[in-house]
Amino acid sequence: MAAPGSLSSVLDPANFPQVLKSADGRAHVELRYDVLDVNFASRFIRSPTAGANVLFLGSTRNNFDNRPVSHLAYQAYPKLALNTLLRIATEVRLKHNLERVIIVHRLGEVPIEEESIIVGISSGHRGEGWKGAEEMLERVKERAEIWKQEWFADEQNQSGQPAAIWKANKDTDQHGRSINDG
Amino acid sequence: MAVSGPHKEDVQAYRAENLPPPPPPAGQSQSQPEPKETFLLLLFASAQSYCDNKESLTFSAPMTLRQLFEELERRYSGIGEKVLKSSQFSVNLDYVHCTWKGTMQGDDEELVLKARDEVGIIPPVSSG
Repeated sequence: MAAPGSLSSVLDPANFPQVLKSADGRAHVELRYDVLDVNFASRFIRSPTAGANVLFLGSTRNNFDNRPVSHLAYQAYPKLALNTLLRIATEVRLKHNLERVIIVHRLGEVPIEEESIIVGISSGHRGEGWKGAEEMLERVKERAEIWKQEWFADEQNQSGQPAAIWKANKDTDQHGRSINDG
Repeated sequence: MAVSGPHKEDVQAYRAENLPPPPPPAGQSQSQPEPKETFLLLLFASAQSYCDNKESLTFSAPMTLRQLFEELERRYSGIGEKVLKSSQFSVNLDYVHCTWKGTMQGDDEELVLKARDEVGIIPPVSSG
């Protein structure tokens, strides 16, 4: 997408995947353009002291507000997003006493049914595991410098409606209901 | 291009006295112009869409944050209201205290951007 002769793009897929890990090796965050590897995430969070392993997979839905969606496209500010993801992963791990944590986000085009994000955690018991995984996902959606562009499949039928829009997580709640900024 | 500058001996004499080398003679351009001192403004999401889908823009340093975004508004009229008003801003991966209210306002509005700095416009995020 970079214009000819422009500086090399921070989003050049050739420079991915990009990974950051905590010094203690218990937190792994990653941005990548290709299909997310659920097995890798599940292997990463394994721990002999964990009795609970929680994996959240966020995938592309085929509709929004009664409009058919053809795909999503993501971009990030890679260095800033990785710093933010690692900070969230580490803070939530410590707060909920989790064993190991992983966050992987996909960039570029994500087709219907494919994953755009994996959040995985392991913990001694399920209580802190559920809570920790949920908090980690909510904080990622609130803060990580990653943007979703929704591409609609009905551009021919809806004159005046844009074919693609940039989303903002602050506009919808956990149930997909719109939040009025007032 | 050959430049008939001061003689080598003269240069060495200058250096021996711990003085900077002499400037090129007046009226002659240097064969190797100084690289332009610039910094980068990174554009994401709605900021990118508003700026003809460019991923980044280059500006001459030095310039304050306020001047930068006034210049951006001049080049891309309406970006303030449409994009900057709801955005946050980073300089070299740290968020700065500034918000767009017709101009850039906040504790960091007079922050001076230097050559090779990296400024980011951070519109409302939407991961997941």
